[in-house]
Amino acid sequence: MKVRSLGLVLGLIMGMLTALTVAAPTPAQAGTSISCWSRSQASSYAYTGRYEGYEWGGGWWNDNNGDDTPGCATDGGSGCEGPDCSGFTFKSWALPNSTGSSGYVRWAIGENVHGPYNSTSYRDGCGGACYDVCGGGTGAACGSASYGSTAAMDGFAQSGHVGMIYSEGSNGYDNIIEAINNSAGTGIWQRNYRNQTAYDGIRRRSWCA
Amino acid sequence: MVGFLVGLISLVVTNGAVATPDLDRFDPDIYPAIDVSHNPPVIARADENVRLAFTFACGFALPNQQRCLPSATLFTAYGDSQFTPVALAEENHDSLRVLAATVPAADASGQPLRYYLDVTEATTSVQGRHPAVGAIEPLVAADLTPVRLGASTAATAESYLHLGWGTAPSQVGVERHVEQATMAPDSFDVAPNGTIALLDHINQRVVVTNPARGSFHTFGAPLKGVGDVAIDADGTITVLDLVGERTGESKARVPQVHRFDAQGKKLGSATVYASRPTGLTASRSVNDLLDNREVQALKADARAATREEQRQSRSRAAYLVKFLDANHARLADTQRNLTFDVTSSETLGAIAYFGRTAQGYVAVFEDTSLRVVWFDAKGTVIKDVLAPNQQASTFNPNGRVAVDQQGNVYILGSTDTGIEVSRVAAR
Repeated sequence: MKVRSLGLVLGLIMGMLTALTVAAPTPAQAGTSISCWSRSQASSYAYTGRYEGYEWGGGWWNDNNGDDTPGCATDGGSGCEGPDCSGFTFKSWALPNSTGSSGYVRWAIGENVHGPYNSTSYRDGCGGACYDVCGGGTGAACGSASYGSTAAMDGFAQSGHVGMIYSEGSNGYDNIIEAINNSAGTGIWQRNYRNQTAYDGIRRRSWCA
Repeated sequence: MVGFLVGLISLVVTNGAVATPDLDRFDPDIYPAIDVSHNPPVIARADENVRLAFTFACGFALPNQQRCLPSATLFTAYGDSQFTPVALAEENHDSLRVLAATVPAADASGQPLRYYLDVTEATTSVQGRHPAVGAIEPLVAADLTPVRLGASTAATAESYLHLGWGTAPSQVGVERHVEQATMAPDSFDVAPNGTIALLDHINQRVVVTNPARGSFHTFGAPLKGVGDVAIDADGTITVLDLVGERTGESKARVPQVHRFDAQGKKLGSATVYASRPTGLTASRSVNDLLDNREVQALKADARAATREEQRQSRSRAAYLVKFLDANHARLADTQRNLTFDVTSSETLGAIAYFGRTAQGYVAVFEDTSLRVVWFDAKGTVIKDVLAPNQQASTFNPNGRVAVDQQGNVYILGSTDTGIEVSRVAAR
């Protein structure tokens, strides 16, 4: 009985301590190296970003369904909640914070880390950590014939934006999960990136289950 | 909140028991704790088998519990029969976990399939149902009218409206920043008399203009972001704000729908209880791509419908579409019980629009071009053309196509200097 009570107290103390650290961003750290990261895990991870904010250059959010810092006029400050599009993709894909590495690092959602890639880097292959899944190269749209080539948590990137496929809609458009901008925040939207020549289809290298 | 969740998980660890995580931030109609992705068959032939596949995202599983392995039971019924469970097979698609089953679209007597999914995550006892209310009911037809498309020709499109970027009354807003998706107007509608209503969410207003009559006015609209707009014959305008607001009832940001009279006076507003709202329908309800049903958030008198009223209002949309592959689509007019099987040797693409016109039907498909096809109720093709697909902002692929009473198709595009509405004549 004493052991159970002690566990109860410890659990509550741990919860309180964690609440203090997650409500605000934690400094950029090394993350936790893990052995594997699947599309399904990436999908669950990205889903926590739905309804959160957006900050250019940002990398943390707290999964309370809102932008806690909507007044952040200057983007990129560590006190501003919300990822940007490339930081959101980086953390959802569990990429290591070194260009070209396709290992697996689990990042806490409250950890303020953006990763080494901007949207153009994704389009151009993440230094080897991702690749053009449609095969047409820059300037060629994936097109509607590419549905068989792509899967959930692949992405579409252009110079200026990147988003990930959450699911395919029955009308043929993709439901994209992405960090948009300060007004729209982060969410799931019906998009036609697949048909735009500016976007390349991209895939993280080495998904594993 | 997350800290409290960790505390609870710590309790589990220290006490060896299983605890249900805090689910306060979730909402079964809008933001379910276990989000099910499922691409329903929508339109099926009675003698077909349909594959039902489901994937899952667990919003509650982070940060400590990295695995989310829900079990699920599919329940199917035909016609008014009782639901019975159907086993789902687990598949691994390059590390994407999929649960799937293949079932007949109709039973031996032709009664159509209905189904729903019960989901449980065993380690946390979190449960859910997809859809949250009712069942998914594909439209099942004994026969589909074939629409066979040959080669399309280039469209002759006339410029109908151009508005430059800016904040002046005669301009529309655009936002272009590094590492952000471009935001610009991407939804509009055309009234029977040719009047255009354009949603300018950057400048927080609706533009109402009739180029042929030389009329132009704007009015302010409380928009948090992108959405959809519809204009009726009497000038009444309905606006769907897809970004929405946080409400007291739900912790998530919830889409809002607003109605205005022709002068821009607000008549009413409502919260939309839908998980995948995509746009306004012909009846001014909100289309939910989750189960291809429409939800009436605003009543005819512009009063808000409650959550329960909205749940009860869910009904099959007047027009259904189903993308099968780049060359094959299905379309249905549910009010006239007509279904079409459209095939083409040239690319069709995603379905940006389908509706009835004075001549029959018009469908707009999007690949790298927009393909506009008019056909009659017998499936005979009247006209088949390709129009340019020029667009800077892409939030609402369905919202940038509108059709007037004569069947003329209007397409909203954007350039470096502003938005451009072009018109492709039906004849």
